[in-house]
Amino acid sequence: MDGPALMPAQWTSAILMNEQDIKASLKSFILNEYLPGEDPAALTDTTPLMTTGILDSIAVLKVVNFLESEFGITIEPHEAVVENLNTLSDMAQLVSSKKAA
Amino acid sequence: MKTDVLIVGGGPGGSATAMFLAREGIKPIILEAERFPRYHIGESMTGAGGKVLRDLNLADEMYKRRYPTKQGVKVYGQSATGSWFVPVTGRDENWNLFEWDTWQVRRSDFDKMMLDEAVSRGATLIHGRAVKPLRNNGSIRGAQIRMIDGNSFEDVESEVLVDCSGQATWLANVGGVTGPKYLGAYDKQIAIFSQVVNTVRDNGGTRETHKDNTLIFYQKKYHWAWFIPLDDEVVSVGIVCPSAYFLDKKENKRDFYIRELRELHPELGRRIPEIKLVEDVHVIPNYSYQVNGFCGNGFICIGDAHRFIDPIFSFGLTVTMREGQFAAPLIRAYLEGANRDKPNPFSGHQLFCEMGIDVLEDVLDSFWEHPLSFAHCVYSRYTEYMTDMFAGRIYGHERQPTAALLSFRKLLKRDGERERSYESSALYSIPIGSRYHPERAAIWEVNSPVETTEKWMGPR
Repeated sequence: MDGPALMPAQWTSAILMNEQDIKASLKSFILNEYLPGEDPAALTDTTPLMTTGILDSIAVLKVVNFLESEFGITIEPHEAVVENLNTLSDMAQLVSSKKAA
Repeated sequence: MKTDVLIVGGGPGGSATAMFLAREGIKPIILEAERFPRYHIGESMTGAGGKVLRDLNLADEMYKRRYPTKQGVKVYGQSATGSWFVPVTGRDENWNLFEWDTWQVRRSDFDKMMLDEAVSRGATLIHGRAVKPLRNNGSIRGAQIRMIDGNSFEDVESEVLVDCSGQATWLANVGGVTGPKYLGAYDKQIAIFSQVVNTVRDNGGTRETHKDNTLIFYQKKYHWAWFIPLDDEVVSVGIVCPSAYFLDKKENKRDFYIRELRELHPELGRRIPEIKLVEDVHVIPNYSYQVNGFCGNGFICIGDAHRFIDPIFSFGLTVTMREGQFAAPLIRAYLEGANRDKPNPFSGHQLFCEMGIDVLEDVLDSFWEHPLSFAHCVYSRYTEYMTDMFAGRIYGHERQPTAALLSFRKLLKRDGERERSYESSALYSIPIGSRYHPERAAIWEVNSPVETTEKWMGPR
């Protein structure tokens, strides 16, 4: 097959777009459910949510359930760890890697 | 005196073993040093523990005695508002899950009921204390006992001695019979407990809000409390924490206990608004251990007599009674001539029991090491498998290891290792808790444990 060795640009951008969408949808879920009235600008892609206690563990589990139902993925117990769930970016990465697999 | 089976210890493990032996047509001698009723800790049963009593046709008696009917376990974690609930379930013959209940028991009453029942089904109760095992060419042939009344000594010769001595671990402590007794993964912990009244119990219309459920509270790792109703008034409440924390506080056990009731968790404090104790404050330090080689020629250790991990999810009563249930038919076969020529006629049983308790160890370790993944399993991912493990369905014929357990083993980085160790007794010879915590690979000092609790506490 004589296709390009690297991922075509439009695919890369599709995945990037996808992660942006995931983050946007997650952000609005978290703002609505747990931070009502908060300035949306205060919640950035890299705001630590777990290690700072912004979300307690029960809230994180509800976010996990949201990820599963919203994006049609199944998160295994060994994936439900801080490193995958601390920030909007972490979570979006987890979702896109699960969708790609 | 001669008997087929000598049971050392008349707690629920000994009594259950005796009743299952009676079903096999064997009438054992039970040796018990204490007069019942007496206080004992370990007041909750899981679903599989309740099933043992149902198998023994004791369910009607349990309801008649109005023991609290536990519908499940509710855990209050780091957030004061968040909690999760695991209901008690059973499995039918097609392995379909159904809702069940089990019991909380006041041990003074329950243990006496069990022992009386064992005697009425054919066991002989001797009021005495085991002094030393009788040995013959590497096998155990009974025990020398000292009668409590009259202080006379007597040899009781047996084909099989079943050690049901609980945390006293009698056979492991006499030396040279079992393998070594290792410190367990939770040996740096201390449990301080009593009974309270005037508590705020749930009283809702759902299983989750049933008044008789077990409640567990924690805010920090390894620092938690149990709340186990014993009747409509009295609740058993225990504080468990690292021993270092307890010593650091420099309080006597009662002051420590009362302060912890107020401070450990806001939800626990809310449920005990005015603190009134109706039982002494008891202490058990360093309760975690594992005895290797707990079955052999002429002997089997049951329940706490060979292993105790941690009390958090109330597996003790269930495991000890089930091990008695599993052992009874094997003892009968042995008496009828099976495995007589083997160095360890009960080696299969030994591995079977060990693999079951390993499931519990991995569940408990995951609870503390990976609380989020654990709650995710309970909450949504493996709800049914989690009820299996909480019910105590932990053995090979109960479809273990489940996907949930394999996932935990992966998280704990011991996937594969458990399985490999079962194939080689050399690999299994040092318990996994010790291998992961090399500082705990120490062997328990002979004769050090529970009896010296008050000495360990010192004059305070």
